Amino acid sequence: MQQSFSRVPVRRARTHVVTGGTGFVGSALILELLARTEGTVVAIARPKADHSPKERVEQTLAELIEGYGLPSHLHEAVTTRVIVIPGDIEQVSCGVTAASMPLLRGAEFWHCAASLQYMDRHREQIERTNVLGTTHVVQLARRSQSPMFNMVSTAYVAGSRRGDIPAEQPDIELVNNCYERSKIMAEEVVLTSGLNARILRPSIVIGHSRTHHSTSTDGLYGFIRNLTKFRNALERTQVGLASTLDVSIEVHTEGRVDLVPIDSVVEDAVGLSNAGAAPGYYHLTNSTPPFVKDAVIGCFELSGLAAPHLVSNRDTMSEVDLKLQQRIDFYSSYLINPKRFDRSSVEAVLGESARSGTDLEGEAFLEYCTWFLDKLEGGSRKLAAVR
Amino acid sequence: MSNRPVIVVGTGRCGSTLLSQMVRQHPDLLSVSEVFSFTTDLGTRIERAFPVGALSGAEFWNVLSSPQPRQSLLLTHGLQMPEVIYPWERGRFEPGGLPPIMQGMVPHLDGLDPDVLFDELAAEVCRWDAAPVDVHYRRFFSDLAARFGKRQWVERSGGSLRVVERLVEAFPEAAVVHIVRDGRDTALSMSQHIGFRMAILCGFQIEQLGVDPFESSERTDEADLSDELADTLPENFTAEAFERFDLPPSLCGHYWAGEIVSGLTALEKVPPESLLTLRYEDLVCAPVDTVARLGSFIGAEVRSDWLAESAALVRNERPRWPKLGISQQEELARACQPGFDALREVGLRWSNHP
Repeated sequence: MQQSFSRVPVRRARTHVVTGGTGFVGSALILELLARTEGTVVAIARPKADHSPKERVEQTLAELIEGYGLPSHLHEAVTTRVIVIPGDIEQVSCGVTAASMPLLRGAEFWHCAASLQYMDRHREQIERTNVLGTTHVVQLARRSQSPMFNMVSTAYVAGSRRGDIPAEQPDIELVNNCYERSKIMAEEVVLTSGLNARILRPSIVIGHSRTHHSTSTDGLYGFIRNLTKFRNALERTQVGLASTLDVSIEVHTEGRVDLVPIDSVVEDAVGLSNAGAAPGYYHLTNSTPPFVKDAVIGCFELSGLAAPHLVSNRDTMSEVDLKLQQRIDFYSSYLINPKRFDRSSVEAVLGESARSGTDLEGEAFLEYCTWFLDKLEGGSRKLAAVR
Repeated sequence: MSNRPVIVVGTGRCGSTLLSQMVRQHPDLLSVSEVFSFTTDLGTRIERAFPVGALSGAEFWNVLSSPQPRQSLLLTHGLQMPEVIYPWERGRFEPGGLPPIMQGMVPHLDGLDPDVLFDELAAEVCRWDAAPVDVHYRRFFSDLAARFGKRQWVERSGGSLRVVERLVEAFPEAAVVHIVRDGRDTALSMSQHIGFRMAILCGFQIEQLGVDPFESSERTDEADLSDELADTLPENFTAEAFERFDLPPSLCGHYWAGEIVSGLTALEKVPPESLLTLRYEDLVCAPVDTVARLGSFIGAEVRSDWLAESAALVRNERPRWPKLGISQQEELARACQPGFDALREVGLRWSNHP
């Protein structure tokens, strides 16, 4: 297996500008850029809770170098090659001051910042961050005369479409929620900006393939977290209920759910950049993701729930099943609309060196879940149902 | 005649209110209602009603009288349980600040001017020396009985099976009456009752948020709330959102079964001679015999006028669960099954349940 973050730098010393540098994808991307390019990385970040942008980014990267088991010399690279400038994508030109603009001139942009919320009640915030925010990053890139704009979107802009998914413009009518809608709108902002742009579409990003470390609490981890909370709610209702109650869940039993380790995503992303890949759509997905049924059963059992009945529709569901379904509705579209993402545009550029994800069939998948559950239970704030 | 304390416990929505009304007809018995329902804020803040260690009279009065957040929120939005009988038109308290014992207990004792009794009790209790909470409760109930010329007090709070362990510890000398009702009807009633809906809703919110939204302003996990749970957070709460909250009867059936199973386990600590289990259905179908059993058990005089007045309180209500659709009936029955199984172990059966 190829190891992420470990290659000798191959590209010239172009500056890279990254938004979302404290987020899951953005932070891993910065480390990959440090490992595989020679240029400066400019991270645009907000101050937060008594921490300056610089402190936030540097602390995040330092933790990830340990968490991902990366070479320790990256600590020095963070100190010497990462420049953090204050900014906020919700402001015009991200609020970057004129004094900082020379740092960005001619830089390649990586727009990773995004809201991963998906509920309709958060729609305004989601669109402000994902659509308006993208507009501001695009403004900044144009002012900076950026030669290439990489936008991290999601493969699930395909919405409710099933089967083979080509890397192309999606149909906004097929979206499952306002998150997917916002990402399509953001893609449109980028594509109509006049910038050279790559639309990078990871699937559901999970932890590092070697250490399973993750700073994400969304996607797979949100599903597991909600199952765990459902278990706790059942136990609050009746002691012992979680392990005895027969629960049904709607899934496509033959399909797969595309989960891809974070190192695969950033390795392919930086690989495309280093290879000078043309503007276009790129699926940063996994060639061998787990089957939906295996993933669901594994998540239930690891969450302390009885193995569920897998059903193809909601007609026979009980009232309690529907309550669970309500809690995991966002994740449902991943379980009932299996997709095979076309990676040919990535493989055409990267050839043999394309990462193609990680084999997640069988036990391999469960290790990611176990890592997360250990972390979740370790920091649990669960309140006992007092008697 | 006995002056032994009596505690009535049940899951709630099980007919204990009727039993309380029957007790109230007896000239020697003081019926004390809903103290533990409301001091625990509908069973969600049990520890505050049973603090550890000695507390002063003023601190104990605080337990009895500090308005509780869930009840205050409900009342502020016009959501009043039938158990709340405070006469708003005559009293000084507002819906957002009604003390727990003013929701039901004090107005039951003095329906005309409960505020006066409240103030008298406050003045008296606040003078008490420090003591453990069980000593305070015992004195409080005994003094009330004396004040109203009764020999014996009978405390009955809806849903008190949830705190039965605490009650048995606090009143080891008490006669305990456990009233049970067909779980299907109980669960169906819970699913429509403001108090149970609030308690179960809050339980879900706590699990999804990782904090009690009434105790903490942290909302880190707010995105994990479904819309119906988000819309009923204290800061978003509306009566309409609360009424929209979908609480299926079968979920209440699981809750009922859990309460029965754990309640029966806790009641094993009560000596058999101190425990009487009554079926609500017997109270309705055979009130005279059932009330006579109750009277004999607690040591009250079994007076014919009491039996007649008690029987007159009974309304002929048919079970409501058969009105559900067949699949809903079946799901409800399955949910209740562990509770029925546990009750069968102690000799209680329902003729129309397998």
